[in-house]
Amino acid sequence: MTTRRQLLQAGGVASLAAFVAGVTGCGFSGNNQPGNDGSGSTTSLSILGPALPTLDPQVVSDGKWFVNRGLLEGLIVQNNDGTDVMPGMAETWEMSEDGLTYTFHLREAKWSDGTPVTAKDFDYTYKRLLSPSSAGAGVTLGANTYITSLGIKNALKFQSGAITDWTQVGVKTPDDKTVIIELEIPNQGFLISMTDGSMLPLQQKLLEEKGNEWEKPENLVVNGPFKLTAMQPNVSATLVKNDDYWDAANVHLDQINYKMSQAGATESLIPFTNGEVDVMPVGTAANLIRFQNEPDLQGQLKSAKPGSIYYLALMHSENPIMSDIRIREALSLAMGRDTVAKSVPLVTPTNSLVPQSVPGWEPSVGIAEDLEKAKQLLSDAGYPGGKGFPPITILNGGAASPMVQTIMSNWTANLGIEVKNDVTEAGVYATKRFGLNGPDYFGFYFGSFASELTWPKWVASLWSPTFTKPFSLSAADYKQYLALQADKDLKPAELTNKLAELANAKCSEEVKTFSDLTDKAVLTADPDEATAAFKAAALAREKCFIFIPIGQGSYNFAVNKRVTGFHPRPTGDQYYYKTLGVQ
Amino acid sequence: MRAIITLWLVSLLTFVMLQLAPGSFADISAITSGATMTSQGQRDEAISSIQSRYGDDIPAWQQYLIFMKGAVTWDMGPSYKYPSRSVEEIISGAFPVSASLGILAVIVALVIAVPIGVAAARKRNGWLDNTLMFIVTALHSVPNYLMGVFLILLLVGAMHLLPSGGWDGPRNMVMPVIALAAGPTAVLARYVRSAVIETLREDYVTTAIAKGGSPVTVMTRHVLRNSLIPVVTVVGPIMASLISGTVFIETLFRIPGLGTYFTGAATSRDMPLLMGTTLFFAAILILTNVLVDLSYGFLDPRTRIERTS
Repeated sequence: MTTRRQLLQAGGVASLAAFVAGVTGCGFSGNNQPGNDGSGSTTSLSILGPALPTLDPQVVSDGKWFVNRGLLEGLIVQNNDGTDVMPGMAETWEMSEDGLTYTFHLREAKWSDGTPVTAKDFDYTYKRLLSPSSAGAGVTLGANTYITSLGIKNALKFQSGAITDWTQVGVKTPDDKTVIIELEIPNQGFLISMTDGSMLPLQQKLLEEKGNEWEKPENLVVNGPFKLTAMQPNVSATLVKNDDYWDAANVHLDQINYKMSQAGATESLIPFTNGEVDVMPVGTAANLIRFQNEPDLQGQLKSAKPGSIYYLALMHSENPIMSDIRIREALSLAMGRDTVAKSVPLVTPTNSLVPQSVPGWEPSVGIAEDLEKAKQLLSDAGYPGGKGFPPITILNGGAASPMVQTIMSNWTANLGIEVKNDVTEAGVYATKRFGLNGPDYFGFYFGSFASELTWPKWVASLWSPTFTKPFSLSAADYKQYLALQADKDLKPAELTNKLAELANAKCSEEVKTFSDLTDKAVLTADPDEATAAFKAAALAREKCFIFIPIGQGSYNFAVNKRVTGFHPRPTGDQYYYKTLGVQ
Repeated sequence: MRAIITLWLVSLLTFVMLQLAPGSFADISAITSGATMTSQGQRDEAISSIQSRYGDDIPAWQQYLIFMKGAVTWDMGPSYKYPSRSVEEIISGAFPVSASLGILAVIVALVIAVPIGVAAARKRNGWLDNTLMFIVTALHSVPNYLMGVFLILLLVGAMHLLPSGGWDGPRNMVMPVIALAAGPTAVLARYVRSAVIETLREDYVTTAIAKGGSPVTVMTRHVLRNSLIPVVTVVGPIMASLISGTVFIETLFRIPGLGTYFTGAATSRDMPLLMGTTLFFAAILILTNVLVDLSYGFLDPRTRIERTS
């Protein structure tokens, strides 16, 4: 008979064995080559970046930017500083005289499984992008919203279900090597917008054969300079040079070890200073300051052109106080942007929602601060010296921002009003930002946005008239707007129309002016005239005081001195892996 | 049976609370992705298409039933946040990682805590006892993430001995295991100390000493064995909480464990993943408690007799 002692001993041995088996099988990736591999046989870099829950370029997530950096290549790509486009899958392209048709001629390029990249792949992918419910995972998570800045004929109608015939959309592929895109109106920002990750091709065969699992390393087929060989979710990914890439001769790295920092992790420079990573994004004030002060780190911070705007946006509230434009103007004129911007390194103050690096930008598209006028406006609105003004709130998600703190103290000092900061969890943030808040809760939410540096993008696509109109609705009208949104019986196209009707009819006069000027700018064919028209529209938007610019910033990176070919750009993909090398 | 009812209640409570929580996966994704900004009034289609992944316009109660059917058949479908991976795939990939760290941490804690506890008990109220208990109390007061940061600063930042994070080999386990073991070491050491003190007072120990047993034999055979029951009682829950993943430590050291998925699912309102991980945690906790109960029988024959009589 087995005794208790024997049982215990056997149990102990068994659990130890199981544990050893567990530890050895617990998924170590074993690709921990430090960036400096020293062997001389392969050149590799280690890059730290955000975690990648999905690699689908049609889902707006860090994965979309990641694949655009080096796994997939679109028709065209951006040049080093992001100001122009260069050939990608398209070897050449031409625009029709009326500016409405672009014809792209594909080069002889291969997918990483050896099959040719064809126009059909582009047609298939663009159709997938614009048919929300038919996309691979049944989701497009907003990447199809990037299509709006392209102005492709009937694209939005197809997306909203107003038309269901794909042949009516301005994407044509007469043969395997030609992609023709027709626009609704000439668009000077079209080409640069085509470099967005949402316009990357996916291999039709791959998606059809592998279903949801197409993006796993063992399945993924790419056409870019690197291919994915291993992926440890939330921890690391290994990229190796794709020898099937058309321009493989100009790819300098054999391998990239991508290390992921998990959401919510505090940014730390230790992986960089410890030599574990060669490139990492730097965002916090504390870390940016170190690059200015520590001799060891100097010269290792690289910044893109400023391409992101920090802003405040009006929240919806049952309290009508903020619908008085004088109050909003006063708050903008008395923000004290100089000190606000100084609270974070490498942020500069701005009075414009358009980044100053957009070609042709001039100070006159913004509205300069004027403290005396601000005081007067507040007094005219019935709150001299801020007396009787109820506490105003600035909402922000994530962590508290030094910029918000500075705005709060500036408003109190300059206008005598009390300001509260509401730092909330993502879900609560979403409800407060989209919803109609109670009478005690009014003010602005804090945000930032980065994008390519063109006028159409920053005026007609970001904080666009359609986006702006609902913000100027009265509480009662906005309630109606929300009720429409919640109405599940409405078909998408019907809903879009009804929402637009309501917003057009009830938005404020200032917003109407902005909308008219934007429509005019968008329809202007001559590039110089269009720029002038966009400037006028941009100024009209500032005069709405619904979105209030604070400062402009850029993407900043810690880059080891041995890294060559690092060219940061203002768009979300930030830089390409293709040009990277090692000294 | 009771375990199944508990699990069912856990699932129901989790689902209801998730429904009541402000914001949805779609809302949050729309904001974090910037899609609200780039959209031209078609935010709602973007949102409805996200929800359609779990069946377009399916009422909540049906979603619950669909999920529960999936949970029972171990086929919970793709997570919202990780569309290419199913919930069961995520759990079976991440659990071994968390479990290996948790079990190692408990082993380390026991290996350190038992000698400390015994030494302190033997020299009760002496300087050794006081010193050890002071250290232990201090250790207990440090949260594991703070310990983790301290270890990174010391072993990586200052001494460059280890990689700061990742999951490439056993080296990556050193700091997380120490950080995870610190708190349990303190708890266990105190338990061992008081249990040993209790046992030392027993007549059979006096008898064993009187019979001329060597101090080591008396301590290991008579005292320690009989002091184990209270220790096992606390080891169970400690083990359960550690193997199910620890979000701070996983995030800090970039470990692909279950805790990250669990909290990520909660903050992004990823219904299938949150339900799946919560149920899995509940099952682990129940299982550990059952195992602890069973182990009493092996450790102390009297428990078996009491139960059978």
